Formats: sequence, C-alpha cells, structure tokens
Amino acid sequence: MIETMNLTKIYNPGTPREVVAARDVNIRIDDGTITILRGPSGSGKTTVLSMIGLILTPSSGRILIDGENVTRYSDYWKALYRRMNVGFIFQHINLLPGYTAMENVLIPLLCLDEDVLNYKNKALELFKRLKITERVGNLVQQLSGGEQQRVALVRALVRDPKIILADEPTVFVDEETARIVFEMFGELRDQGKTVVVSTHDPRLIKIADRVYTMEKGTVVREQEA
Amino acid sequence: MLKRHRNFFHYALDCLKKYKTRTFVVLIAFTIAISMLSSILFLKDGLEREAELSVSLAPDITVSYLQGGRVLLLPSSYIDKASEIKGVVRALPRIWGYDGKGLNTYTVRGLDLSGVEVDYGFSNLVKKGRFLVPEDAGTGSIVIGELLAGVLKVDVGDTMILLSESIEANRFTVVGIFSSETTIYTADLIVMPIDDARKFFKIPEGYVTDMIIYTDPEVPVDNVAAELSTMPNARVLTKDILLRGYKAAYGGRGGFLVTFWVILLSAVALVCFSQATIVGRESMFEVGLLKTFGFTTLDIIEIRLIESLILGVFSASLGMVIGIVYDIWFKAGIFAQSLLGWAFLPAEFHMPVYVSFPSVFSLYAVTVLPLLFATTVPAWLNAITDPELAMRRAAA
Amino acid sequence: MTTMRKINLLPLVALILTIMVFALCFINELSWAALEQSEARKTVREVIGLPSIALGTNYGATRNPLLEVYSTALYDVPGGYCYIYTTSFIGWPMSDPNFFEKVPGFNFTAMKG
Repeated sequence: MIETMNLTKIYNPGTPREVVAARDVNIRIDDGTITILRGPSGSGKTTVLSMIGLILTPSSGRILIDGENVTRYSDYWKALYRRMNVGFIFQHINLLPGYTAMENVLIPLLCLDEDVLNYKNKALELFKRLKITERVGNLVQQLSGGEQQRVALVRALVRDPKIILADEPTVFVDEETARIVFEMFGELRDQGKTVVVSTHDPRLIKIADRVYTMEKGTVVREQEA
Repeated sequence: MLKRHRNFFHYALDCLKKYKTRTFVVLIAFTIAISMLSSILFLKDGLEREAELSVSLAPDITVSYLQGGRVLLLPSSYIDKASEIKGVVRALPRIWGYDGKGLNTYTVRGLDLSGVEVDYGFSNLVKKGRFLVPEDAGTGSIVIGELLAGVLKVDVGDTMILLSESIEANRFTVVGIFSSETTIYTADLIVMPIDDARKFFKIPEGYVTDMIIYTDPEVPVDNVAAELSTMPNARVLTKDILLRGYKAAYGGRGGFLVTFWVILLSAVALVCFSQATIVGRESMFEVGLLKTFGFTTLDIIEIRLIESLILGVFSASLGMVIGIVYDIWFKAGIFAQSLLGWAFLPAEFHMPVYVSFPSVFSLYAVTVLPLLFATTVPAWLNAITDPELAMRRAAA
Repeated sequence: MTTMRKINLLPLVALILTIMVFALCFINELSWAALEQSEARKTVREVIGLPSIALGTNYGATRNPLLEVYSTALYDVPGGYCYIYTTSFIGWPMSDPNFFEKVPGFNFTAMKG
C-alpha cells in the first residue's frame, strides 16, 4: 500500500517563478487496485504521480510504502525500488530517439543482472497484443504517436512490475488500442498489481477502484468504486 | 553481477554510435594532440637517455682553463699538478676542436694513444680498416666517422686534405671508418694521434685543449673536483654537470614543447566538455529516463566511464602509434628541428627514440583523465538530479 | 538488441592498438638495453672520451651548441650566453643552478632574454 501525507511540491521556491504544483495531497493506493487521478491540465496529477513513483522529491510531506516512510530514503534505495517494482508510462511517451522500438523496450532492463535478450519473447508477445509487431525493428522516430505510446506501454510492462504508474496512457492511441489498454489494466489488477493512472478518460474511470479529483494542486474529491 | 556490467558495456558502445559527431570530434582531436605530444616526448626521452648513456662512461672530470671568462688553452703543467691530487687515478691531456664552417663543421680529436691503458679490443670500434696504434703518430693517419666519410666520399686508404683554421693544407690518410653502431657519437668525428692534432690546430707545446681525469671510485668525485677547483683559472666540470647540461638542453626544449602540447590537450579536453554539453540536453533526458527505470547514479557514471575509457584509450593508443611511426620512420620532421634548436642532425641520422613505460603511462593519463572528467562530470550532475526534473529540464 | 549483437570494432581496435603500444615500448626498451651493452659504443665513449652526440649547428656564431651549453661559456659574441640560451628555448638561466655556481661575474644580459 502506498500512502501520501500532506505531500507538497513547490518548484523554484522563493523565486518569482515559484510554482506550487501540489499542496497537502493525501491519497491512499491499495495493493491490487486501480487508482485514478483526474483533473484539468495543471492540476498537479503528473507531479503527484512522479512523487509516488519516487522520481521527484517532495518539498514537504511524506510518502509511506507499506507503512514505511521512504520520503528521505537515499537516491540509491529509490533507484533499486523503481528497478524492482515500478513500471512507468509517461504522458510525453519519452522513448529514446535513435533506437528501435525493441531496443527502447530492452534498454531499461540493462540495469538488471540478466541477459536482456531473455525478455525478447515477452516483449514480442506484448507487441503482438498491441498490434505493432511489424514495427519492432523501426526507429521510434519513424513511428506514429499512437505506435510510440504502445511501445512505451510494452516498455513499462515487459518486466512485470508490481506497480504501474501511467500518465495519460490513452491520449495518443486509437479507440481499439485504448480498449486493449483498459483490458490490460484490468488484467493487471486481477493479477494483484497496483495501477495508478492519471487521466481524463471517463472510460478508465469506470474500471477504477478509487478516483481522486485534483484541482490547483490539491485533492478536492475522493470517490470509491 | 557480471551480466549487468556487460549490459552497460554494450550500452556504452551503443551510445558511442548514437552520438557519432561527438565520438568523431573527440577521437580526431585527441588522436592528433596525442600523436604530436608523444612524438616530442619520445624524442626528448631518447635524447636524454642517449645523453645519460654517453655521459655514463665519460671521464669523471674535465678541466679547462678560463681567462676573463673565456676558454683558453690549458697549460700542460696542470696535468702534473692534477695527478698529485688525492683520488686522481689518471689525468690525461686532450686536444680537440672543430673545423670547417656551418653545415660542414666536424670535430677533430687528438688521442694520446700511450695514455689508453685498457685493452679495448678496438676491432668493434671500426667497421672498415683499423683503429689508430701508437706507431701512427706523425704519419697523418686518421679514423673518421661513417657519415663524414660519406659526405667527403673517402674510404680506407684514401688521402684527404683538410684546411685548418690557419688555412693550411694538412694531408691525412684514412686508416679506419667508425662502425655504424657508434654513429651517434662519431658521425662528424676525425680522430688522429695527439701530436698530429696539435700540429693541425697549431697548439703550442706545453698546452692542451683541456684535460680529463679518472678518479678513484673510493673517493667522492666532488671532493676531487673541489680540490681541482683550487688551481687558478681552472674550470672543473664533473660528469654530473655535463649530464645536467644535456638534460637542461633537451629537457628544457622538450619541456617547452610538451607544455605547449599539454595546453593544446587541455583545449581539446574543453572541446570535449563542450561537446558533452552540446549533447547534454539529449544526454540529460536519457539519464533522467534511465534513472526512472532504476539505474543508479553509479550505473550512469559507469556507462559514461566506459564510453570515455574506450574513446580515451583508443585515441591515446592510436596517437602514440602514430607518434612512434612518425619519430622512427619519418625521422620526426619538424619536432626534431624544434628539439635541436640551432643544432642540426645530418639527414642520414635517426633521432634516438625512447618509448618508456612511464611516458606511455603518463600519456594515457593525460588523455584518459581529462576525458573522463569532461564526460563524466556532466553525466554525474544529471544523475544526481531528480529523474523527473532532469527530463523536464531536457524537454524545456 | 540488434546493435548490441554486432561486434563493435572500436574497443577491439583500441585493445589491439594498446597491445601494439606496449609491445613497441617493450621492444624499444630491449633495443636500448642492447645499446647500453654495445661494446663498440662503450669503447668509443671511453677511448675517445667526447661525450657528445654528433650535432652540427645552423647558427654561425656557435660551433657545437651542446658543448657550449655544457661548459656554460660566454662564447664568441657579446651576450652570447644569453643569446644561445634564450633563442634555443633551453630554459631560463636562473633555473640552471650551474649558471650561478660556475659563471664568475653574473652576466645581466642573461636576465633580459
């Protein structure tokens, strides 16, 4: 279980460019559930998601993982935690240019003490399911936005992480792919994985276990399914 | 654990391919700089080592005569006085000098053959003919350097006429030509019996050019030198001072050139740093992303270290191979001239080249360390930033 | 990964070049050791006793510049000491302790060089 307590993030504090991206955010994410963060652009969803994923250090407040306050844990500990537990899907897709789709999926696995080629079959399965098998050898800049998003999805899932953090995962994909994404999230939950999604998509909200609505950096509403 | 490092190695290679321009710029710049630097360094080391070698077996002390700060002829009486000093085993007169002008200058050495007491087996000294014997005194017999023999087109048995400073013709017969092995010392040398040399230079009886002294190994050379210094007008040069002179000459010149190239190398390192910054935005994004996936700061630094090591070792090794080839097969061209200054080596000469382990290691150090610094520091700065912030900054 | 499977020549060539450098270094050391043992060279050094590399000179006012450096003589032109030292980039006279120890009457022109 992941909990946040009064989580606050202020960019450029004490300067004229100070931005309060999140303020006193309190949310709870149970294991094996789908949690949605919704809200208009600039409401702080991505910031909160990044803090939960331990890729952004909060200005104040606490993040508890299974009751343990990990907020000020070392950079090294956080990296290992992410390596073993978290899969990210970014709003801006964030694929590495100059590499093929398959390479983009395998590069994150280089930090494991394993031969990355062992994951190739698993990646191909996911590519097949997302219907871009024929594009695995293409450089990512040759792919459409939707295809890139699907590559990012494969990249996040290929390691079978316990927690999936997805930021607007359906924003660039077509109807059918979006449907597949929903299905996959559902299956992941059924397998006991924790899925946290920041989205506007009402269809995703339907399958969620808990929905937090954010406005101007704070949580304004919490809904249980 | 090994698989992880192997993965990083492969990824580092991929990065080198990916940032082709940076890789190319760094390789070319460092290879050129190191080839120049190594060429000079190996030449300087070669000349210094040659100097050490030549001085190691030179007479322990050389004494010349100064008057008004100028070198003049040494009265022969000094030799007897020197022989009486404690610690002096042998004090031998020497008559030597230069003749000819400009490029055709050669060294004439008069040898006191009776003073050579050691059985040297002179057969290895000459490649053709024979070395001088005491009976050669007054016969005009000479032994000459191989190079000089080539320039003057003379062979054993030939007669040649040399004009002295007094513009007097002196007839000599070549009885031997020094072996090629000794060319570095004997290229421009003409050796003749001491009395013939006296006649050639018109040095009056009772005077010599200078004297050489062999000391007792049990007595410190400096003590003997100090004793000799008490003789009026004597200038005492120990082997150590000669070696220092050599080292000052080549080390100083080499040092000047090496400093110049080290400055250039630093400039190259700065270019690399700026290259690392140019690709910095993409690299910053990449680092942020990799950290998101669980790469630690150390992992990122390891990858960049591998990149820099491959680049640094490649360019340093290639540069050194080019430097050695340039020194040995192309006779070092412009650098030899810079090292020798006003002095020149005949074209037939090979400059002595010494590729020493310490120099090789220092060259690797001056290449790899700045490169490691130039590429690893930006990566480290990115790696200690929150991954999300790094990516955000890169995207901004 | 596709590119990762390819044998990358860069580290391989780097390794070969490095081995070459050290091999050249080793061979060079051996040849110097052989020179050190050269009987002919030993003989010429001991018998002839002129410990000078056979250099000529392009500078008309000096004859054998190296020997002149050895003896720190004030040669045949006024201020020649200074001239030889500075024009040949040998070093500042001040850095040569020999200069102070052995040359009587400090020549101030040397400092201007």
